[in-house]
Amino acid sequence: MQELYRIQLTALLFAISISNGKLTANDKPAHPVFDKAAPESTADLIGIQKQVSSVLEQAKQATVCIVGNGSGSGVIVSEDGLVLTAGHVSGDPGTKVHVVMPDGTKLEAESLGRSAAADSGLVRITEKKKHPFVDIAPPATLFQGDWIFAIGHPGGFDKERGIVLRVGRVIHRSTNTIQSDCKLIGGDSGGPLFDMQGRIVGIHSRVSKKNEQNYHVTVRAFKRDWYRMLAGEVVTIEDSYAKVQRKGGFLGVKRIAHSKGVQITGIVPNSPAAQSKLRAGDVIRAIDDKKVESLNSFRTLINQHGPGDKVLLDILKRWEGGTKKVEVTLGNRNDFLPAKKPAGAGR
Amino acid sequence: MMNTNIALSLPVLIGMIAISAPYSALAQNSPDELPSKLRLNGSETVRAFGRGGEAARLSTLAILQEGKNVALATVIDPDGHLLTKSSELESEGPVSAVAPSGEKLAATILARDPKNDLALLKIAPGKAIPVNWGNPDNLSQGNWVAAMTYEADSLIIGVISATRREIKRRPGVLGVTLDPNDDPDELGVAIDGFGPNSPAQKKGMQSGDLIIRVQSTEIKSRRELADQISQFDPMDEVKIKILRGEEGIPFIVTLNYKSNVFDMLDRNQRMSGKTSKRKAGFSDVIQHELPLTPQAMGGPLVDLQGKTMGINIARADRVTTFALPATVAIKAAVELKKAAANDSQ
Repeated sequence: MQELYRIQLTALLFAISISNGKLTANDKPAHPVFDKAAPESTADLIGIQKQVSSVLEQAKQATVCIVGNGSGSGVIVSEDGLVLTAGHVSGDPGTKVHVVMPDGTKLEAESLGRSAAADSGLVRITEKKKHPFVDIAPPATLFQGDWIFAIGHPGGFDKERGIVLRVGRVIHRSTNTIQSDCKLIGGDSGGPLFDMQGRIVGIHSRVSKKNEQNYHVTVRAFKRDWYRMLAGEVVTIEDSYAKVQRKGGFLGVKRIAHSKGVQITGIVPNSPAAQSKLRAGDVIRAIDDKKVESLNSFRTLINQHGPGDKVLLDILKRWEGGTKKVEVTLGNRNDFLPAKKPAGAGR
Repeated sequence: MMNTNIALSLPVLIGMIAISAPYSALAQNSPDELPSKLRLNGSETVRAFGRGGEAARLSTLAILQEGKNVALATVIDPDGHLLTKSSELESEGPVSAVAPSGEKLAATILARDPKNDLALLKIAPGKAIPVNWGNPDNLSQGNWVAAMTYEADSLIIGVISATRREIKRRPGVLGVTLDPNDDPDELGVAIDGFGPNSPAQKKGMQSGDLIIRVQSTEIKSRRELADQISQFDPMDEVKIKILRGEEGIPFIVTLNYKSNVFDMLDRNQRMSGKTSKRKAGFSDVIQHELPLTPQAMGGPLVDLQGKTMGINIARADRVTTFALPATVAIKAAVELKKAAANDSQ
C-alpha cells in the first residue's frame, strides 16, 4: 500500500511536468561540483554561481509578495495564477489578499485551503490574465546536501531592493519539512526554495535561532493535501494522515498519468468500464464535470461514490479521435478484488 | 537553548509572535543532518574560496577599544591607514589593532566621516598588506563574496543578495511614546511611556510630563514634536523643555538610534541577534547575506579573486548586511586624509 502511494505521487508530478511542456528528468546540472561532497576550488564555487544565475531571473518573475494579514511571500505555479505559499500566510480560506508582482503591480487574490500539519497554503490570483510561473519539482528528487537557493520578500515588499536571494544546502529532509542554511526572516514566509534546475522544492515556513535552522515545507506535503487545499479546506494534522475514505464504487480501469487526465492502459473484464466499452488508450478528462488532474484526483473522485452510483465520464477517444461523454454505473469494488489467501497458507 | 520556531510572516501588530508549537519537534538537531563542515559556512566550503579568502585575511585588522572587540578595519595603504565603522568607536579614547600576524598595535583615530559612518585610523607603516580594490559595478546578485568574522580569525562566505541602492537616513529618537488623545491645539504633548532603551527616560523624564519645547520651538501636537525631532540625527544633543505639574524643567537629551531604542519591540530584529546601531543613512550600499556580527563591520568584502568590492558597514538583520562600495570608500578615504592633514596643521 505504501509503495503504491509513492508510485502514484511520482506519476502525478510527472504528469504536471509534462503538461508544462518541459522535460524534468532527475538529472543534476552538469558542473562537477554537484557530484562532490563540498566545493573544492573557486572553479567549483563559480559552477554553483553560474547555475543559480541561469535560472534566477525566471524564478524571480514568478515570486510574489502576499499582503493580507501582514506580509508574506509566495510563488506562482500556473499560468492562471495559482500561488503556493505558507499556510500561516494564506490564512483562512476565502480571505481577500493582494499579490504584489516583482514590478510592484498589485493583483486581487483569494486564499484557498491550507494545511495546519505542514504549514502549506494556496492562494488564487483572481484577475484573469496570463501569469509568469515556475515548475514544481517532483517530490523524490531533493536530497541532503543538495545546493538550493531561497528567494522572497524579507521585511515586506521593497521595489528598490527587489527580491532577496540566499544560497545554501539541504541540511535535513523529512516528509513535511526541509531544513537548510538559506537564512530566512519575517516576510520570507511562503516564498520559494529552488533546486539548481530552478524548480520549486519547498516553501519557506519558519526559523529557529541559528543561521542553519531555516525550515521549508516540502513539495510532497503540498501534494498530499493538494485537492483538499484547492477545494478550500483547512487540513488538520489528523486529516492529513487519515486513510482515503472509500465508499466502494468501482470502475475497472488500469491507468497512467496523462497531460489531459488519466489514460486507460487496461480494462478489468466484466467491470463497468468493460460494459461501457471504454478502451485502452482512451483518456478520462473529467468525472461529473470535475477535471481529472492526476492519478490521485481520479482515485479521489471515484472513491466518493458507492456501488450503483452513476458517474459521467468525459473521454478523449484515443482511436477514433474527438471526445464523448459516457454515463457509467459503478460496480462494487469487493466483487472485483482478488480472493484473499487464507492466513498462514501458501508460504 | 530552547528551539523556538518562529513563523515568518510579518504580523500587522508589532509584538504578536506566532510561535508554532506543533513544529518544535522538527527543529531538534538530529544525527542524520548534513555534517557541519559541508554546510554553506562549513570548513570545507569556506576553504574553496582559496586565495580570495587569504586576501581578506591579510588586509583585515581587529579593532579594540577599552579591551573589547568593537570593529574590524580595512588596510588601505602601506603607510598604515585603516578605514573602520565610525559609530562602533564610541569614544575618542585609545584604540588598538590586532594585525593578521597576531601582533597588537597602537592605533589613533585621525578623522571621522559621519555621512558614510567611516573613521580613518593610523597604525605603524608596513604592519599589514593593503587591499586590492575591485570594481563593485561588476557585481551581480548571486556572486560569491567573503569577509572575516569579528575576531578576524575566520572567513565567512555568502552571496550578493539584492540590488545596490541608497538606504535612507533614519533620524534620532527620544524614545518616548505619546498620549494618542493629546489635544493638538493645547500647548505641550503628554508622554505616556518609554522605549526599552530610552534616552529621555535615562535623563529623568517621566510618564505624564508635557513636552512643551524642542530647542526654541513651542510644541502643541504630536506631529509638531515628530517634525522637530526628526531633523536631528542619532547622537545629536537636543534641548527639550517639559512641564511637570506647574514646574518647567529643561533637559538636554542625546538622541539615540531608533533601532537601539525600539528594536526589542520589532519581531524581525529579535530574530536577528545583535545588529548594528547605525544601519541606515547610506547613499550607496551593496547588500549581501554574510551572517556577520556588528563587531565585524569595517572589514573588507572580497570577491573570489580576492578583490575588495566594499567595506562592511552595517549588520541590518538576520538576512542582511550592507557594504559601502569600494568606489565610495576610496573617495571617502581621500577626504578623510585631507581632513586629518588639516587637523594636524
